[in-house]
Amino acid sequence: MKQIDVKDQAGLSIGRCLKLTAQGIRYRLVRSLITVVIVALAVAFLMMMLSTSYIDRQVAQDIHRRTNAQRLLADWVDTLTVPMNETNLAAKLSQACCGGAFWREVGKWGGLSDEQVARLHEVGLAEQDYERFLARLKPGERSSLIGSREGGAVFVFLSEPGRADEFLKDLKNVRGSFPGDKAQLQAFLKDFQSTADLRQRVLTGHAAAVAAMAQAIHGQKVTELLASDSAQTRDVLQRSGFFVDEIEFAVLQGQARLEVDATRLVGLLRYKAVRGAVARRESVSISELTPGIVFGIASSVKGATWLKEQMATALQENQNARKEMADALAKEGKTAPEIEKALVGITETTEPLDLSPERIAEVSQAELRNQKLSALESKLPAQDGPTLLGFSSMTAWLIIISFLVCVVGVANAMLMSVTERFREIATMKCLGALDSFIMIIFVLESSLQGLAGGLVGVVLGLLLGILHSLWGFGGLALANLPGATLGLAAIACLLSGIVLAALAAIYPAFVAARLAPMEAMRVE
Amino acid sequence: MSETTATTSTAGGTKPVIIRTIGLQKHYQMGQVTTQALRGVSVEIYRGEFICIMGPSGSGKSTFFNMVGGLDSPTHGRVFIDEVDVAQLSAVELAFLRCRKIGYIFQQYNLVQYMTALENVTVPMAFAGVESDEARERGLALLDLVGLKERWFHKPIEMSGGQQQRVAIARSMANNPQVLLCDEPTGNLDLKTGAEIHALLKRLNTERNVTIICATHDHRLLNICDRMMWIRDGQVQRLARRDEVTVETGGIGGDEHE
Repeated sequence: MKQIDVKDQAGLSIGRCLKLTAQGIRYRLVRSLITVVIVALAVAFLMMMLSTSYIDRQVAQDIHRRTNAQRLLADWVDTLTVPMNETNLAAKLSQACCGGAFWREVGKWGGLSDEQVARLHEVGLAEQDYERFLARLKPGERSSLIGSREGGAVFVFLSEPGRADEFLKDLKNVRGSFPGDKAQLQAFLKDFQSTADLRQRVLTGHAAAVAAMAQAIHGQKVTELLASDSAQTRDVLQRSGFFVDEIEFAVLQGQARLEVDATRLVGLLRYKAVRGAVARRESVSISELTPGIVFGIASSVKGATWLKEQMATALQENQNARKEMADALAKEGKTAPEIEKALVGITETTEPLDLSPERIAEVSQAELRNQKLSALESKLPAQDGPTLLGFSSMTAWLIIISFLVCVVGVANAMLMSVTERFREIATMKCLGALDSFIMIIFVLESSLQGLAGGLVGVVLGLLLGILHSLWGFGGLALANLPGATLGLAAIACLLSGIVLAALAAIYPAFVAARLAPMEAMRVE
Repeated sequence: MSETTATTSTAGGTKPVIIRTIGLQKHYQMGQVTTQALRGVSVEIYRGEFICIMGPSGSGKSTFFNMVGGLDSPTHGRVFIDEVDVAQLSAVELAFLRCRKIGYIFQQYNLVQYMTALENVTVPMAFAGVESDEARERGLALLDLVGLKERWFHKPIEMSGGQQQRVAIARSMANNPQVLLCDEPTGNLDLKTGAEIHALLKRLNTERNVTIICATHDHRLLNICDRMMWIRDGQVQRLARRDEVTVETGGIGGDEHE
């Protein structure tokens, strides 16, 4: 009798499986679309969140860079006019790099050696670490540890005998990682105390420098000083005890000139004739005039020329009025000093606006840009709190939940598909299909749908994300599209869509693979 | 009676056996109750014969059928297909057996709806690892055999029941099986179409020497089969050659409707 040899059935190639799967998907297009849509929604949500977050971050950096000059000027005006307090000093000391301008200033103000400044820098760094830790605490936790104390007072308080031990003991009830250990804290407190008089000397020195500065400029505004001739300004700064390096000074001067010119431009609104002309031109009431409107007009050279003409007219009118008034008073027989006295306060004295229309336009454009930037800056999301992949924990949760819902949805759709195809699957098994083949076609089918959904979702999410950022930041968002990052995010989203769909199909595919081939015989 | 009839009704006992069952029992556990679907069936089916299995529903006919087709495993007893003990085979080997040694024909045709006639016929060939060019050639030849060569590109939905069943028969022959298992092949067809299918099966049986095991209620099949077997209450009630039965046709009817 002939003995047939029964061997292991061979599996099908992936190419064949793919072809079969694609045929099946085409036949059950509507059912497949459900999975595609579910995956697309989840991926679109993730992609939108990612792209918005990346674009926002890029925009924030850009705004920060563009407003750098403004910040620098404001800092310098502060330094030159207001005596520092301990907290400011600690922050600045921790940032000051070795041998820089501030480093030298500190040395000069306090009469300190380089080593002493270096020590202050070290202490400042440690102090900032502790400050950051304390700032992150909840108000209740903070007050239980250090009461209502702020800044340097905290460390003075902790330096009291026994306080540090108590503080460390209470620390155990507080969440967050405390920087360093007990020994480090005690060493810091010791250093902090021993450098207290150095810091005091620096503060006194700075206050003296501010006073010297005030005297040197005789009531002139610091901004105006910075905007004027550079050699002289640097000399004044140096004599008062301030250092500024060349590059920084150039930026500072440019910004100071811009602000001074802008102030003069806005100053035009003081004149009645100009006010009237601008209000008529813009069809607004005089009380509604803002600096922004003036900058808006002057941002073109044509507008700037018009503004200068209005100024000249105003000047002329003013002078005419004064002349008339003076003549009238002279007829009454008043002496010249009396006339001068009477004229003060009746009409405004005027100074000619000696800026070229081009400069006026430049200043206006810069001012408008700065105004817009600071308005946008307030729209940027706050960058604090714990984050996951750059998302706030709330957003991260939403994304995780959307993915879970997606997995459940896809699994459900696939299970229904398996139930519908009981007969087909069982027949395939009668025809010699392996369990693994059944598994593969179901997971493949889901993955293909995940790929389609992922593609749709990525495009949709990217569009929505860009639109969202466009709505918030306008052209600035487009100018700051982080192409490479978004590309990577798109690939990651696409992959996560495919993996998600494949994972969701595992259980339904398992159910299908376990199906008995006898089911094919069943008659309904 | 059942365990002896198998041997008594064979003609000489020299024909090679292709399927042999020994003391086949199948129990289904349904909650607390155990249902005995088969209570010891021992049968020999010979190579190249056309055997009909008859029996009312619930008689264990389908269960026997599934065992013989390698789709289910018995609780007790053994099934040998071509001298291979089915119980000894792994799942992967069973798939090999189902793919190449046995062809299945279903009452509801069970064609894959989204494939053309030709694609349906070549599915088992793909599982058997046949190159797609060769599969296409062989598939067309098989469709020619069942008289549907011109309609190879039609989907099942575009074909009548009889045509679908003929495609299904072509598919069952894809890998030149030794056994064709037909489960009510004409159950969904009208008389004329049913007769065409019967003729086709008979042709395959005589021309290609394929063993055909056919579960049916259709008495016309009795005229073309070699042997017939009645199953009742999980046991073989009767097993007879056609020449022994034709004289007792009235009796058969009586048995059926008892």
